[in-house]
Amino acid sequence: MNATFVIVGGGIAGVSCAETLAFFEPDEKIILISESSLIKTVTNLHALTKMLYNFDIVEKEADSLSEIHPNITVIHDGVRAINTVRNIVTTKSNATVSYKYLCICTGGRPKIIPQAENSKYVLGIRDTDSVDEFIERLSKCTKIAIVGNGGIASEIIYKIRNVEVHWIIKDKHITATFVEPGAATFFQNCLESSNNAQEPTPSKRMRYKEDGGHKSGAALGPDWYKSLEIHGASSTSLPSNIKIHFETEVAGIKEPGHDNEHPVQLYLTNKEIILCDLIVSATGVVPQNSFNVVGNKFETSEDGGISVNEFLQSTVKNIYAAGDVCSPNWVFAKHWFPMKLWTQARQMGCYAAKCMSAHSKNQDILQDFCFELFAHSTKLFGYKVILLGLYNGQKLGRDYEIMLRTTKGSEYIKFIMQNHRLQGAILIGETDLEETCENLILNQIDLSPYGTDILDPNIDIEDYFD
Amino acid sequence: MVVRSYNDELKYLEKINNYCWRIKIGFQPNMKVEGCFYVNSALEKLMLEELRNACRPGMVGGFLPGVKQIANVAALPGIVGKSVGLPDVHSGYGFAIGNMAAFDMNDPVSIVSPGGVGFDINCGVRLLRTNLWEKDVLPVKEQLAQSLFDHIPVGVGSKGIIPMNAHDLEEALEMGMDWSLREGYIWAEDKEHCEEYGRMLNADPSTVSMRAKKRGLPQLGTLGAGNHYAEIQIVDEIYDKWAACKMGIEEKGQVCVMIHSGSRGFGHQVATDALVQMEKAMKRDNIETNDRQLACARIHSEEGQNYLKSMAAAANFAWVNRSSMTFLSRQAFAKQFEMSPDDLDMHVIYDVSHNIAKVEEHLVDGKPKTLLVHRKGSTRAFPPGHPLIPVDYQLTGQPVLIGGTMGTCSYVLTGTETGMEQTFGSTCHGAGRALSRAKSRRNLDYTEVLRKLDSMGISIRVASPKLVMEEAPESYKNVTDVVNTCHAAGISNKCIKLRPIAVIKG
Amino acid sequence: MFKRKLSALQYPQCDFVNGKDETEFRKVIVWLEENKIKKYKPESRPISDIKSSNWKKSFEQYKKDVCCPVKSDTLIELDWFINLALQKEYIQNKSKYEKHSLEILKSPNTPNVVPDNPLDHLDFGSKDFENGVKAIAQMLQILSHPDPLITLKAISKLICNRLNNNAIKNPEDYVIKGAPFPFEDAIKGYDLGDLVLNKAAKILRLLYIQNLRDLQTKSNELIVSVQSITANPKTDTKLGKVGK
Repeated sequence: MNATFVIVGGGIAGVSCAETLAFFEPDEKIILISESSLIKTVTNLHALTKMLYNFDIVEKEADSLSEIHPNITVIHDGVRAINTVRNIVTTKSNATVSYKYLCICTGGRPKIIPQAENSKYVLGIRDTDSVDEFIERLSKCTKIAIVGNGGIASEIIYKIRNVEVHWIIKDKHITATFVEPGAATFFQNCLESSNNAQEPTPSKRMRYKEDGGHKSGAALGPDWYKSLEIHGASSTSLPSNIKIHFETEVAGIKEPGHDNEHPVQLYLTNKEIILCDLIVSATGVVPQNSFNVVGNKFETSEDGGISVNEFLQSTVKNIYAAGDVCSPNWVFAKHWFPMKLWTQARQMGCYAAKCMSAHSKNQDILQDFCFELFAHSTKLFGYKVILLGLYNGQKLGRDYEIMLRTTKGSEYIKFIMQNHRLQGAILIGETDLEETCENLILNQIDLSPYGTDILDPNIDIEDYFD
Repeated sequence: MVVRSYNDELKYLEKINNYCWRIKIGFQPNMKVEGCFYVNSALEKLMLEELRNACRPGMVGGFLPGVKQIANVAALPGIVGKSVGLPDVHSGYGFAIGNMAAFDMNDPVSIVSPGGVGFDINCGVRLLRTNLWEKDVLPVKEQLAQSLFDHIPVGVGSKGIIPMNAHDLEEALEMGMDWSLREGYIWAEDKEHCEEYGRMLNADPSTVSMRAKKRGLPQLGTLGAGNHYAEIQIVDEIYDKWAACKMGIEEKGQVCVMIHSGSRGFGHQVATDALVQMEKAMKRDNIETNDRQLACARIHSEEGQNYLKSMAAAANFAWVNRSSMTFLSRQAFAKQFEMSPDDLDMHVIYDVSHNIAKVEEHLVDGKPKTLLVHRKGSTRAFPPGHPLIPVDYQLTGQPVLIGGTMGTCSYVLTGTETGMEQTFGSTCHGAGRALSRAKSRRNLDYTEVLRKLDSMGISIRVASPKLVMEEAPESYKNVTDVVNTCHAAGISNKCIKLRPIAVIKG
Repeated sequence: MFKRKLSALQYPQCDFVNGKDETEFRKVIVWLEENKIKKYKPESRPISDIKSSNWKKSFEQYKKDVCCPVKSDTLIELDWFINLALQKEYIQNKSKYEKHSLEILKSPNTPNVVPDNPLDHLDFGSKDFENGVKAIAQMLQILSHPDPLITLKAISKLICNRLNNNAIKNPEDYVIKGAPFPFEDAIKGYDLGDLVLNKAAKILRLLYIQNLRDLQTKSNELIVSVQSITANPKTDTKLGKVGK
């Protein structure tokens, strides 16, 4: 087999890349190699109705992609090796695919607590399959431990019902990957009151069962939890009992056996011991590039990601990488930095496609503006959360000022200011400030005349800068 | 800013009639001409209340009241006539939003100011009619709104559904709606019903920075967030049957689509780039203004010309943007009703800009003059028979589209001879709400948050509620008040009232 | 409303004629016939007796005799008769008026003679020709112009536009629809200080607008024909299916 453009990986980055290519290069042959027969697409725009960025990520059968884009062929297979000299990809079932341009979008795999590798009571959550497994196993549990402080961990905590939860985080506050302590306090209040939140809606999403052994599926999309019902085994509808263990990590795991009420013992660095039925490890991901490279090797970064330049080109000719598998290695714009997020996976996928298309035609290309400003939108604890620019004062050291406005249970707004200019913002709730903040950060307008008035809720600041 | 008591300030304001006030020279330093503003009794209270609040001790800096901003504009070099505040005036960057000011092109000291146009260059409103009735749409309202959502990308950072590369952008900046026409996104008739025929001829993409182009590229064909929206509206009232008839509006209950958007990030970058350039030009040419935000340059200076050319490019960008959304709205309706947009009679009634500066001919003290008219949050409203309005509206006067804030009513007005004389053919643009309905009362006990943040050792400032604001419970300018004031003052006539049934917003 | 025309005809009470009063209407008609039109011989004018109960009948006959195409509306009828009188007046004093414009009028009145065309044997100045044109005009309900050639032009225009094959098959496509536009009230914005002048200016404006509309329509058509070559609307299908 051969194609002008070959993409490896059926996750958000890979599919975004294939679709964008299909659009820019309708006459070229495109092959997408996906390990799962299900792929992630952003076709469903339902979520767009409520939120910026928030495309509903829907799993579709891989063939559906070829139906929409006739020049895309999807191969349901994994990659074993890439020959960078002869420009050939060898799949696990020994098929060979030759390419002119290759984009690697193999994503990442969950980091499992090192002490827990191979334990049957430890579950890493990263992709759709692992969520299915989690839900099934949770139904037999009454007490679980969750390790990790990122978005996925935060969402599980928010959605879980009828089970006792111990949340182990190494930071001083919850959801540290995204927000600082102030916002965490805002959320924590919600978490405490979320037990009497309304019943979750039943799962409407169609699920496909995969035959055969365990394969690594694609990463979870932004709304993966939205329609899930996560119920534990406690028969009475007890309010979930969530205990947060701050500033601690897992020291060890013991499995005393089935005789105990809870089969696992978790030893924490703060000397506490927790008995539970299941340990969920949601501590992030590491790049997954477990294929052999024949010929020129990729330059990689510390975490093993494929190093890419501003055009997402790896160090090997005609090979690009996008999404969690790559490590951006260019001089970042002041208000941007990489983060392993589905938003960036999608942006990189689309941009890699544009670069490949332009390079194949020897055209110049401008770097996409999305790399000028960090922007991420998600939902945490039922709130719209928008992170813009250096939202946690990243790169600024201690040389910045915070401006704050918050209304309990409704909004939390934080501006990061340096030299009276906005550098970043966290917007939680329906603030309507996102476009204004985006513009204020990009324009670097001097805001010194206003002081804290800039956050006065009586002023519609988006109208002021109309 | 001159520090005076509220009562002393009032001596500089004079009520001319029930709908118009004069701002006398001396209200702010160096005023070259008088100012004026149009208000009815309800809006008058808000206007004066805002001034009173600003006069309180300790109120320095921050947001200047609109009336002060109007007067500061009256102090700019080369201004002619009056600095006019429309009923929806509210404070903005440099110029108030809802301010019209004209500068004599033949006076060498006359200036152009990006603050007088605004950041969202050529932000404007477009109205499409249909031959559908409320009863046709109500049963499928949800699907139709959804379909519009699906077709029109919304929100910050949202990307256009119509793909463009750098070359396309370059052409679009130069050609405006002619680009959309050439590519087949819109109808020939659309161009006809658009201010400037949807293209500023002096646009020069080469004066636009690379950063602006990069910033603009992914946003073409997107709605934007903030106050931008697309609405499905129903004709709620017809005040001028003949004018409405000329616009293809027959009866109450007819369905229309309103699109409110601008040049988004692109315009912001153009304005930002120009502000930086102009600060330098001001030093060189010794131009002094009352407010640093009123950065400006002489019209005939290099900076001035460059700004006008890049502003024109941004205006073209906004028209392409609204045209793309017109295309997408037509597609959405066509799909829903399984009829072609043609059969649905989805014609553009009109397209207005309310953030723009244009060279126009006007009579000043009975003599024709060429002026650079800045309209920020102000809509052009030319009278019947004016050569620059479309042939279909030669008898009615130019349609003026007034978008309410989301969820409130919108209006179609028509331009008048009085407006031509008093306001250089300008009227209001919308609801106007820099002072908003108090959205949320802050009630959080900050201590816990502050304690946690404090551990990072970063200085923290908390926006504290201001006592004065508590005293103005409804500090919001109602669109109906605004429109009625313009009608009563005669600077435009009410023609149609529209009410929204579905809103698509970023 | 007929003040100007009637004063040109030197009608004695031209200031007070409004045309809506039946007696007044009859008076004016009789005065016109007796002094200007003179269709009938003075001794046999059945319409002269305006108090007669048969007046209406006589008037209908009179209309037929002078080939008046107007039906029903008395105001238009009156206008038509006044115009007819003016026309007679003009023709009677033609030589007087034409002294000033003889050169201009002469050449267009005598088209170049190409002997082979049978139509060219027609005598455009003859009474027969004039009456023939009048008869056609009446059939088609067109007002006659003193110059039969101009009337003929109007006739030709009507036949070409409205009575061609397509128009007869699909009259809906050709008949202009829509509500009448009250232009006298609706056109605002200028006052020339004279009602008649205002009206004339308004009509001129309407004609100008119509010209402009035609021009605009033609430019639109041109754009559309160019579009058929250049147009290629693309949409990014991955964000939702768009287009047909």
